[in-house]
Amino acid sequence: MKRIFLVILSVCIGIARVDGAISQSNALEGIPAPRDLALVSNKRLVHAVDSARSTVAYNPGSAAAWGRLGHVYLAHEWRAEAAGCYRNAAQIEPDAFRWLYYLGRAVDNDPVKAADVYAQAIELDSTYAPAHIHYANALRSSGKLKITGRHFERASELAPRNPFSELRLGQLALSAKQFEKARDHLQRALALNPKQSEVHAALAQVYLALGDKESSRRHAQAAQIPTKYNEMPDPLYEEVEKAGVSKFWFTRRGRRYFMAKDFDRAAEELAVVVSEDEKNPLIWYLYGVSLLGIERANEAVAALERALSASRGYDHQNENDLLKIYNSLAIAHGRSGNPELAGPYLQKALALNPASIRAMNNLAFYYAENDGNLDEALNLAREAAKVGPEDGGHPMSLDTLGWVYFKRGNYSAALKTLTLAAKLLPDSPTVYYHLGMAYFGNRDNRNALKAFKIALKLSSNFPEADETIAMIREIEAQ
Amino acid sequence: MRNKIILLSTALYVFFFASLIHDVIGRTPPISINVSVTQITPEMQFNDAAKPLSDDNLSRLINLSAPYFTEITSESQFSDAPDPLPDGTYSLPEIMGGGVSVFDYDGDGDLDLLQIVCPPPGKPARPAPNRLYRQLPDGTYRNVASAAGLDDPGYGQGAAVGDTDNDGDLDVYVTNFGRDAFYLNNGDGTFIDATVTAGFSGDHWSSSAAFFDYDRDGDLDLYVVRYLLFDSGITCRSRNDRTVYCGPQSFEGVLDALYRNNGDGTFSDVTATAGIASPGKGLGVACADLTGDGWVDIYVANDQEANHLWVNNGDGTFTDEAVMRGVAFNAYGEAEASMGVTVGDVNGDGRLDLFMTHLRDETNTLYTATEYGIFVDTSEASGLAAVDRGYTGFGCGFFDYDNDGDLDLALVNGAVRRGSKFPGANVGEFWNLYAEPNLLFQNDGSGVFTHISALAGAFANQVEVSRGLAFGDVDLDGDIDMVVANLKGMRVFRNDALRLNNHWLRVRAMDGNRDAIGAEVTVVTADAECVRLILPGYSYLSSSQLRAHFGLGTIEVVESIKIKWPDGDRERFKPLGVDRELTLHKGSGDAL
Repeated sequence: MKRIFLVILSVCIGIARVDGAISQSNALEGIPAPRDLALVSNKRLVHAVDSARSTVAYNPGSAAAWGRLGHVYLAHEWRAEAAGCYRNAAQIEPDAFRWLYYLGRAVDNDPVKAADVYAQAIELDSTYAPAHIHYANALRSSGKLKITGRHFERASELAPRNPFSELRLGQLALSAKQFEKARDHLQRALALNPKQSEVHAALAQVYLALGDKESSRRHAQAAQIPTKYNEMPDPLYEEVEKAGVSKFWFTRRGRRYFMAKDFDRAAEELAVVVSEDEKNPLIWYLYGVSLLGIERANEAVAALERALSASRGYDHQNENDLLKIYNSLAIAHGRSGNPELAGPYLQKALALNPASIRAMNNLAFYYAENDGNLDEALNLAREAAKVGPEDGGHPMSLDTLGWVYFKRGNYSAALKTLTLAAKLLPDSPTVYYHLGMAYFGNRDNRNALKAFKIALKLSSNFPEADETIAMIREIEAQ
Repeated sequence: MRNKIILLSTALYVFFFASLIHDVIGRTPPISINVSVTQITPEMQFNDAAKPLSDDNLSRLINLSAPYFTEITSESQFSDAPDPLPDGTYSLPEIMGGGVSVFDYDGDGDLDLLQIVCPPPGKPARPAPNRLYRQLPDGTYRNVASAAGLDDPGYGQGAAVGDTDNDGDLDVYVTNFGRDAFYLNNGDGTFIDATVTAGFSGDHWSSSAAFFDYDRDGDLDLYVVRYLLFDSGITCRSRNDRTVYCGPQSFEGVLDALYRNNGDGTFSDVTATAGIASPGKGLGVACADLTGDGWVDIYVANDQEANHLWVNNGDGTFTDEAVMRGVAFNAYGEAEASMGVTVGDVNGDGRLDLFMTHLRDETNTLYTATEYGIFVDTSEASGLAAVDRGYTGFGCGFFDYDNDGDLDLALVNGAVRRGSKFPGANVGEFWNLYAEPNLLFQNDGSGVFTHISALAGAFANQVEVSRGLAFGDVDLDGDIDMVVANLKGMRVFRNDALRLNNHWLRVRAMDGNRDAIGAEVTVVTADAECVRLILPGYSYLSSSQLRAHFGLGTIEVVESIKIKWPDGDRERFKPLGVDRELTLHKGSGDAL
């Protein structure tokens, strides 16, 4: 069968490269192309399609080439064309699990078809957990509830730390009104990912059905915060995502890397987005902060300024987003060696939302570090530090307050406050630097040295690292 | 029934095989949608009629000769000329409207139609006067919007209908992309714009709206669903980088509005004090007692966000319990792109279930109420999900199209994203990629549905970009007809389904001069109790006839009718027979 298929492909496509007499466009005939490709103006995408098709034309017997073309199509919503490519790949490599898995993903808007394909894939390899999850979803959507649970369970065996199996099993039990069983599955899911909003939503229902309205309400509240990642990690499907070359994909990958604090890659992806007349201030903001994260402060300032100017024409820009832009601009100016430019942005941020803990904290720190307005710094820092974590407060405010005390020469208050801050933020080198200074101010050089060394152990390149090293040298020289 | 044509051969078979047909159609329809009706020619029907037919062939024969819905738009002489709709400009508002309302505005006993009109794509500032089609005695319609003063020129979306001043005629609240408008009915066939005097103001994107009496003070309050904060400067692209209509995720959500009727012709915005505090991206609304505590709740279908179930606390405030009760997300815990919503008891257990329409690649969702105070997503078990995933649903409604005693389901479709052209789409090159056929499902009485669009005639054959859907017996023949609002134009579908002598009963519930919106009417027969609502505000941007309609099947005797009035009072009435409309007045029954 495979041989016949290859022969046909060769007849259709491969001959072109044998005699060289047929143009490339002829060689591409028979290789699926989206009907509306001519309407696509994105040259990068057109090139990606052309390139992947050409690869197939020159290697029609290569499953990988067909798969790559399938990825390009699937990433850009050409599902039918993608499915065709994966089918070809699967015919060339009939024992390869992945092509059938990709085919399932390409047709999963038709659950009956998808279930059929996933079943074939799992016949070849039953060890890939995401396949079981998707198979079970397709089974459930096509009404085959009896065997659905089995595949969620199998995914759980294969990937015991994945919360999705337990979530789905819990949802299945809930649908069957088996509330105790549902609760047990969902509690297990919650233990694996306490922030998964889908679990909280289902638990809210379960507890209401069980007559525990208070627990129901609590989980309903938790369900309001959407889960950041509500899909199981899927290394195979990541190949599809990587094939995405439209703005959508650069944005998506950029956001994802940003959330993972991989600012290098985030900046790289988002650079493509902003190069195309991007008007969304949030994208510019993400780009700017990513640049800040990789110490390209001057470029970060430029990007964040763009975010600010874009936000002016952006009707639905909300206050919180603007606040973030102001704060980030201030930090960027500080890092680019122009701290004097930071103050006005911090003041604007506070004016925008006088109750913002972040704005109060940042402006207090700015005053303490640069402006010398230590009275106002103290007022703001005290206000910010008053707010508990349940109301949006952050222990970093304690660090700021302690640092303001230090700047005002109140070393005992500084030491007390910074000791508490260090307990709450044991991973912050800046807090330990400040604590070291407080000890130093209290003439306790031994503990100061200890704190400075902890700071450097935590990070060798935090913003105050040079000062920390200098202090260690100074104390050790005494 | 007017203008109904039934072929002789079918009529003969109906006569001889009535019970068989009832068995076939009423209980376990064996109708296969895969059977192409074109395979059977009229000659074959005639020849086959001379010998016994298999059940299958019999049903095919009936299907061929009598589509369940016949379009009578042209017969009705609507002045809405079917000009081609200009190509779109990818501005979201141009693909979201508009709705249609079915009500008797002039009190002459027949149903008139209010079509809410949007300006054409690319011309957002062009006045788009709504059209009020008055039904004339011969069953045709005439646009009297201008003379009646109901020709609001705003960027129309939908309308709510109800008697807000208890004077016995129906007032209209029009939702717009922009300033809404409120029209008081003068009782003489005209309306007066009372927007300002009633206290309504502000520019918003309002979508659906519904009148209901949330505080049980004897007058109708108003809930207005707001969609989102639209920004025309935002453009969106698909994954393959083509310009597309932006989805709601590109914009901020907004708060809906709850207006309390002060009883003096004015309304107060009580949104904040009532606790309606969570913004959403609302498109559909249905107000009914979904928790069974006697107080009318508010269900809001939000687009790609958690839906809201504002549970009435009975003290003028509401609490969102959508998540707790299982109607915020689907069974997978995902927020869906909810558009239209309808409510009704689909499985005869006396509890109100919810259904809402969604985007292509999502299922529409049926939430079935349970005895545990929560709803369970039964979209898959109901048989609906296997069919509707390929469509983008908007208007929808439960209705007993064949008067067999259970609630069937109709929904209208039309994409918001380009797709493949459906066969039969003929609305221009641009819109053909958005046009989708409508769907009809038959309930087997237990909440399991069979897809019968192949039998729905013109209702499912017209492949257009549909939005609004309203229900009512426009030809007064005892069955429920449908009116569909498309992006361009409106169509009326007369119910011609074979009902095989099924009986029916329609109840008008009156509280003083006012139709008692929110009343729950229960018909009690020897075998069962059947609940229907006086509920015009559901579906999408639309308003339906203010009656509770009961199909009775072969039942000829109704033992009693119980009404749970919006203020919590309960009464029992002795019926006066079947196959008629009864008007029951609050206070004239026996208190329960």
